[in-house]
Amino acid sequence: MGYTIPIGPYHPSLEEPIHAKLYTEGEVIKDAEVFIGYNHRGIEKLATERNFIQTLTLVERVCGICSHSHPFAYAMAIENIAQMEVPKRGQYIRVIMAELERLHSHYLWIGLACHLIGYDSLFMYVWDARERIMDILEEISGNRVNYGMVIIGGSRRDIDDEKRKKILNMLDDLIEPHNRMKDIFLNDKTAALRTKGVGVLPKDVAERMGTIGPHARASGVNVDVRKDAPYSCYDEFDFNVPVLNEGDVWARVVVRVLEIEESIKIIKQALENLPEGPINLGNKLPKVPAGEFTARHEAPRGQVVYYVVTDGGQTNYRISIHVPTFKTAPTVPYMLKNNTIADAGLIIASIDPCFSCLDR
Amino acid sequence: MELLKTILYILLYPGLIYCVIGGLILSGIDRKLLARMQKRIGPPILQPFYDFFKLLGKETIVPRNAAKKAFLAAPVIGLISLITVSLFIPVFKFSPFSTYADLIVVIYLLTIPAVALIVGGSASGSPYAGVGISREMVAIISYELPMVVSLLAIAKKVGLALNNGVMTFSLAQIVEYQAQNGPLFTKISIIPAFIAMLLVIPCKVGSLPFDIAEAEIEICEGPLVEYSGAPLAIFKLNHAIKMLVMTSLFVTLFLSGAGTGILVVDALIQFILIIIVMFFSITLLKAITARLRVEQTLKFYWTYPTALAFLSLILVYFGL
Repeated sequence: MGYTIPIGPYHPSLEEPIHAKLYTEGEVIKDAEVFIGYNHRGIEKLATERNFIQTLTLVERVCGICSHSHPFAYAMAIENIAQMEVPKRGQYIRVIMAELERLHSHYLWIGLACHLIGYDSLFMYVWDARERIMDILEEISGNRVNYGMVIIGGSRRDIDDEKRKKILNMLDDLIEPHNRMKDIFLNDKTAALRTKGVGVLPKDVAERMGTIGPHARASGVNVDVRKDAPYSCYDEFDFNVPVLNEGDVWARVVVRVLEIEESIKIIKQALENLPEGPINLGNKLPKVPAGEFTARHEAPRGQVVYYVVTDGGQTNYRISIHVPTFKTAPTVPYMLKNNTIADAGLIIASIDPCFSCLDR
Repeated sequence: MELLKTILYILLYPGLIYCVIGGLILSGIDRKLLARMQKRIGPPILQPFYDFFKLLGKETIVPRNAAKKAFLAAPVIGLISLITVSLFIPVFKFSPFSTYADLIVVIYLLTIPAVALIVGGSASGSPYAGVGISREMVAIISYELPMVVSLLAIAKKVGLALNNGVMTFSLAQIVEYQAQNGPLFTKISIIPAFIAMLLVIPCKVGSLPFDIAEAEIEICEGPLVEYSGAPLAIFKLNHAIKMLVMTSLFVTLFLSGAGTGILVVDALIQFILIIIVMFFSITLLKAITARLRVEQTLKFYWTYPTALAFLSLILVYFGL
């Protein structure tokens, strides 16, 4: 007997609206379709009516979780058009924020994945670790969600010596809950039963569909803008890009666990070698000539691309935002096929979707 | 006088009032313990009462394409059968409705809440309920076999001692045996059945990792998806009472004995034992596992618990 089961736009396993139609036979999904566009806010159009500093505030609100990645990429585009040299200290602070954001985003998703397989205890443990990251973010920027740390030409707030030591201590305190979480996930039998071999995306399909970020790295595709085309000051740090070949949900969790460890490495290096000097070029409205630039940044979910065109005036002529979920979402119908309804919510969530980015 | 006593039994002690209050307190304790294990503060112990009365006051919406009578009757049928089961389960030697083969009645009546869920779900006409029903059926098929086989082992064991070697299905006799020879879980031949029944409880009451039929984040609580207001409150109550009745049956089967003879003290001891059994079979398991899939549940129950139950039956026949 065949059913058509709708998942979304409102469904308990989804944090944000997406609509997936599952064509099932019994418990098995035979085919699936995904519909997007429930969260459109017209941000790209709004950006053409605001000046460059106002746009920073606007793009920060594209996504609640990558709220540093978007202004980071946008600022890089404007700085390149205006030929500005960003001070080293400012760049380091931007990178520290970007990596902290990756930590909290990955913890958030791992917790969510645990919740979706019904493992609420681990979910609580993971979010306990995440809460420590949120404390560090609050320590630096004064905010938990929209940090407001980027201005054109550098960073807005400094990390002084006292804060620097405090944050290094807080990072050391993170190791114990992180290792416990990692230990539970890697060794738990029921977690493995629910995630291994579920929603498999083979390497060739991942490459053909052009998926990116941790989602691609879990399928054996080695893509990472931080290594492939280093920007800001990423070429000064020593870190690895973890790649796994399994391509299932389990690998997606493990890739993120490993990435968290690499990110902690980057943050520690950045904090220990924080250069002296100014953090920005002064907080004034920049003069931007006509021009265009494409800035790429590795956000927690994959590459964020900002294509910005200016015409020499006070506002953007056009900005175009390319977000990772737009690249990963097309793989969902492929992954859903021949899995059971029990896993549908988990598989949709396994791309670490961000539909507020996706629909802008 | 006899009639008055019977009515009191039905309404008060092993019946309605005890089931409602005991079940809801038990589920409150379950939630609190679970929260503590997950580093949360958790809701107050009386939270299930607040939830229940709040739901009772909410509007009841019946979907347009639902079969109205079956839709509304299903939760009540489940509730009545559970309360009836509670009447038959002895609290140590106190067993007002004891009959010759009450164990068989209990086995049948315990299946009815699950059947009520299936009827209610199929009457609601939702695709999520459709998936939930098929999962509930698989769950019933999974746990009934090990459960019945371990009950047979107990029946044979007690029958060998008290009933000239013929299986006995009288709960009163099972309690009598334990009063003479000590609790059944101390007997070597019954230990495998003891473990099998402990594993059956979470699936029977539909808790993690076997809450496949109502998995809220997979199929939005399955059969309950269209329920609201008072019928939903009764289904939630059923869930709590099922927990009470199953653990209570377990205590009677394996941990019973002569008791003190004073009903209030016996009832208290019974309830403490119930909480202990619930902690190990439901709460602890909930805290340390992820939800299994349907076929994984079936595979699990037809291997380990079934094997244990049959092992127990064979050991009983060998006279251990």
